[in-house]
Amino acid sequence: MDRRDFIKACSTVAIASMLDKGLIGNALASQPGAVKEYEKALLVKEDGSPLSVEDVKPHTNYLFFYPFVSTPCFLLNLGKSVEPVEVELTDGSKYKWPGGVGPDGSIVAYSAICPHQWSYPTKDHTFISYYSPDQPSKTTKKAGVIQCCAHLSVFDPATGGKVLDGPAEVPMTAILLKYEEGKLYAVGTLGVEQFRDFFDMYKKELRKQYGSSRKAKKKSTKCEVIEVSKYAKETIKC
Amino acid sequence: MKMNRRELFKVAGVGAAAVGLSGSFNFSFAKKSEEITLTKPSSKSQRVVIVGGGWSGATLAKYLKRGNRDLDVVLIEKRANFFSCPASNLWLVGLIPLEFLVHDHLYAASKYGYHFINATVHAIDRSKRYVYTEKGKVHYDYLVLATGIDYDYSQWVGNNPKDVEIARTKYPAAFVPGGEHLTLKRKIEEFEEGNFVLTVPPGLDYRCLPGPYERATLIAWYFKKNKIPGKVILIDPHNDPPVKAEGFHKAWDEYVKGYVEYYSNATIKGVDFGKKVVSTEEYGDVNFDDLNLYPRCKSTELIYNAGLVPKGDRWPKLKWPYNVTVDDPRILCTGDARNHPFSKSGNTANSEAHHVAKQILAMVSGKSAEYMAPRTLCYSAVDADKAVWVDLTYKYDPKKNSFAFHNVKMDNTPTGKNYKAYIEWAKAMYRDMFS
Repeated sequence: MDRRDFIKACSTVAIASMLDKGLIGNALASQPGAVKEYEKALLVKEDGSPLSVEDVKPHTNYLFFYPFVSTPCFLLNLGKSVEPVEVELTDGSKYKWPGGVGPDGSIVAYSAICPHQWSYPTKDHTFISYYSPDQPSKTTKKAGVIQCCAHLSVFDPATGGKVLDGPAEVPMTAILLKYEEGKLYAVGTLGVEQFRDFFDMYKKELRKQYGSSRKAKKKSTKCEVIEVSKYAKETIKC
Repeated sequence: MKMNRRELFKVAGVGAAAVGLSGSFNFSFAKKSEEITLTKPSSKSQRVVIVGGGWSGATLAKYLKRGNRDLDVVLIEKRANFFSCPASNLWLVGLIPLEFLVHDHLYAASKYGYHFINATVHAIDRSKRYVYTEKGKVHYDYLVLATGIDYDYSQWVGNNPKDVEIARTKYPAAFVPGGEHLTLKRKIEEFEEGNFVLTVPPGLDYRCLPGPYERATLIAWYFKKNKIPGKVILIDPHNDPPVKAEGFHKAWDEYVKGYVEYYSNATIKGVDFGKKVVSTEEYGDVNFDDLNLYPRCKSTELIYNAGLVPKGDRWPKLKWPYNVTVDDPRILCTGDARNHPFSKSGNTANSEAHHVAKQILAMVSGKSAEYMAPRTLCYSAVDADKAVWVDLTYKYDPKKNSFAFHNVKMDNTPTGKNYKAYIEWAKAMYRDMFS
């Protein structure tokens, strides 16, 4: 993806001055072209009460829908502090991923739409999922990674979703989280978004599940967090 | 009306000077010479014409436009619709519907902004940089020939036109979609008893290395499921399947035992269509009640006629390791139309096209792009709901000027999860090309 395409993919990204620095933070707001602010959405449990950091068990693969009600994201507690890193795209452009949030800086989130060819978790199955440190992929032997079994793209959730292996050319889209008074919020995205392609490619499926494209594109204002294994009937590991 | 050579030149409207360029242009095909009117994004736009809208061409058209909207991209394809050869073995035995394999070019052309012309390219005028179709001619700055494969029957059938016609029509290889596939599906469904013989081409330059083995396995599964008193005989010049051998043997020894006979290391001497016999050195005459004859592959007539295939060879000569032809720096050959040491597969063609798009985008900007080898991720079904796979890339060593397999992964254990991944792999590839 060249720079022009990248900028286009992030076409809705406003100039830094238009971003809510209070929500996004000064450092992120100074990265026009990479950051996009959405609704501030509280992460909640299945019973609707706010999700606490303690509810996010280490190395368990959670799912929530953000920034749209139909776009799945992974929520992970990586069990240790995750430092900010610089993420470089194939065209040489760069952005800074802010690292984990929460008291331990261990909570991260990414869009669960594979940036290679857009596989995503459905209620029937998911080909893309997190491999905990004690359950490495039998194929790539990698652990602590997000891997997609459709084409074997492997991403590192500890370094901004960078591509570790496989055919993907862009990193996973990071979901920007905010930790306030014991609560977790999703506030925006960072990196190359896949939502436009997603909505275009899955019109039929989304219409079936949500009633219409318009309803599928509704912005999330509150995000229920559930385990991937409870959402998808089958997790395809490889 | 008979037309003499001079009149033909006149109608063709091209200068006689073009004749001087060896193999560059066959006037007899130039029945219509009006230029097809195609609007360019801007007056300065360079044009890339892609001949062939298969896995390579369709991917390339999209990613050229995504990379540079000012580039004028024209995709010319003789079929109105795309019919996928990958995954087609599943359809042959009724495991997936036809809609899974068939896709339209118009949506992607409209969405990404490339021209789609449903026409056959008959000839190339390399000196003036035109391709000729029955609908008119199209000028190019760069030309990509993604024309796939053709069959070379000379080795097993000979050169008698009557025999070649029988081979093409009565026993089609069904590795060039889609009429051949329809014929083969009917043959499978109508088969009542006896030997259903399949052949594997020699060497490693045929389309889809595991394709004949997967097909033999699934036809055997179909016979078993439908209690057809027949068996599949697979005649193979190789000593074992070149890929996924373990998975195929497991299927033949367990899932479809008794329905497949595997004749490895076979030297096929010829085929007698009258006697319905495939003659081999090692196994004698193998009788067939029906036959799926997959012969050696070669590049297509268009590429031969353009003078891009050296005498005695079956593939165009390219500027190794790139896809640009040695004979013409403005012509590239991609996908299965060329012969690199990569498995000729859908995934290879798709991933190669992503890289070639970057090469061409650099070329039109007067820059150079780093060479990147394609990737081959290849699934094969070995039962109605089980599959195996191999994934690898190729590393180019500039010092040795050769490729080696790189980062090889595989799963030879037939599982249902692999089968589901196979289906998702194909769906995702179609999304990449057509959505």
